[in-house]
Amino acid sequence: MKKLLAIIVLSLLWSVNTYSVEKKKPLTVVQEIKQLGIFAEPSKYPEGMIEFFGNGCKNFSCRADKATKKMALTFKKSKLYHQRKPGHQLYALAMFELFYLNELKIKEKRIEKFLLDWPEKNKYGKEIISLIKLNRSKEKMRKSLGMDLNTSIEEAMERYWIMGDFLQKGEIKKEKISKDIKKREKLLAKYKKAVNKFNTELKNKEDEDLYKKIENK
Amino acid sequence: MIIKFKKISLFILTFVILVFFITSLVKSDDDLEKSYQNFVKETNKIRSQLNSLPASTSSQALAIDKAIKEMDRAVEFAQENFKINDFEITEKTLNFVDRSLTDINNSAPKEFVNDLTVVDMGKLKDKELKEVYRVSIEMKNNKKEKLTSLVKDMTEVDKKGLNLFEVSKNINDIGVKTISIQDIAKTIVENPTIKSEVLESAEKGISPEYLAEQLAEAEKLGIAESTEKLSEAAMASGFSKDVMPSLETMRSDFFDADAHNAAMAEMAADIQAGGIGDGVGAAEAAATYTEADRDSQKAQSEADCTGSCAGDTESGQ
Repeated sequence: MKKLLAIIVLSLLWSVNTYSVEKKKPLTVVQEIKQLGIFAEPSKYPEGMIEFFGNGCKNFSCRADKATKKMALTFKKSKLYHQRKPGHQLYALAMFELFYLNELKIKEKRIEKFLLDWPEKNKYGKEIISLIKLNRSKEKMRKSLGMDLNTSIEEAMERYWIMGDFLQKGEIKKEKISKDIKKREKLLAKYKKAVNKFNTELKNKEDEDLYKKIENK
Repeated sequence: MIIKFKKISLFILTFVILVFFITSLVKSDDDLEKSYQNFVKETNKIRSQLNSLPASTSSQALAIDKAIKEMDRAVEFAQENFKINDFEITEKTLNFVDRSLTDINNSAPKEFVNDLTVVDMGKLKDKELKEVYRVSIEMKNNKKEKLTSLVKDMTEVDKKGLNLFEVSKNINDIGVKTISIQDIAKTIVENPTIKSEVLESAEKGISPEYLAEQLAEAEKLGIAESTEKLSEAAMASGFSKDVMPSLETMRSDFFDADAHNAAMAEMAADIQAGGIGDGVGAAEAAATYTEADRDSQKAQSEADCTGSCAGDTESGQ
């Protein structure tokens, strides 16, 4: 009987192992939180962004709120809009930096309290998870333009803005596309979205384990 | 009697452990299984919609149809591997499908095209010129890294039974520009440690003679690119590998403005194809964060505080 028990336990441990994918060692919860960064007001903003804020909006809170609203509006725009205004998505990414920084400011004390109680309790766990997710998005977006989490917010905003300005300088030309192509393009976009969504979920399996670790504490 | 009782309790213990392990495994992969079911349902629907499109007379539409058909094998292979819990191979196969679908989509003509050739690089401000240079170089490096990783993935997938080098070659033969033999040869030359295993896999799907020819070309190019002579000439003109060229150099004839312009055009195409990087999707989700969400979050936090969070307000003051 004891042998049977040992065999069952060993085979279960083996089957658990087959689920794990060999990847780089994930960060601990505390390391993840350290990666979130510390709030500090940006020392400068891109010129175009200052123009967008206007004269009446000079403090950080006003600027962050205005940027968040504009970012939300831009990301909700259609694909067609982004094709006509190719730089706007990059301006929105610069604004995302401010949105993230503001979230960090709002949740600063909660992060401290979380760290004080962790791992015994998960005080403000949900907010910590949402910040980790936002930080991951920030990292991926920065990477696409050759930046990382060590790049300062001032530099990141400047780079997004300059690239946005550059794309806006191009000439938008309209071409006639056949219905056949349009239909295929639409289905291709859906296909790619479905593949990308599932693949991202596979890749994020480790992240999900981390979120569950925080949630279930 | 006691022995019998011990046996029964051992049996119960075994049963409890078994149930605990099985339920925990099922629970942890329950969400992924659900995502998988959605993925299968969604892709099957799209594939049947694509198959039921009336045959087109346009050569571009025909090429797209054929290229998408090539994808079916890879998608089915990914599904088979998910079913046997080989998530690593599923992911690697889907990385290839994702890249190929991007290439197929990019091969289709676009309704709006951002013509960046009209931008006079000479008239850009110093700061702008420097950033365009830096970003285009970094994008080139990113692209190289991604290609190397994809070629490694393709090799791993081949070991499990599907030759993606062949699929890729077929798509190129149809007339859709995707990972080419030249790309594979360059990757091998730049990463000698993976040479033998990549060659072993690639030669199953593409002509070994042609691959050897391209490899020799890539090696020649690699040597030419790294010759001291060229490097010295570049240094003399203000270039070095790690240091930014001077603004004068960037404005001189030596500076390949067209190459940087092309990199920017590629960035514009990436945005058109669905955003720059995977993170945009998450940023879009963040964009749905409204004032109402914030208010409800604040109310929830205050409720959680039960009087012990004095001073812990939204602004942290």
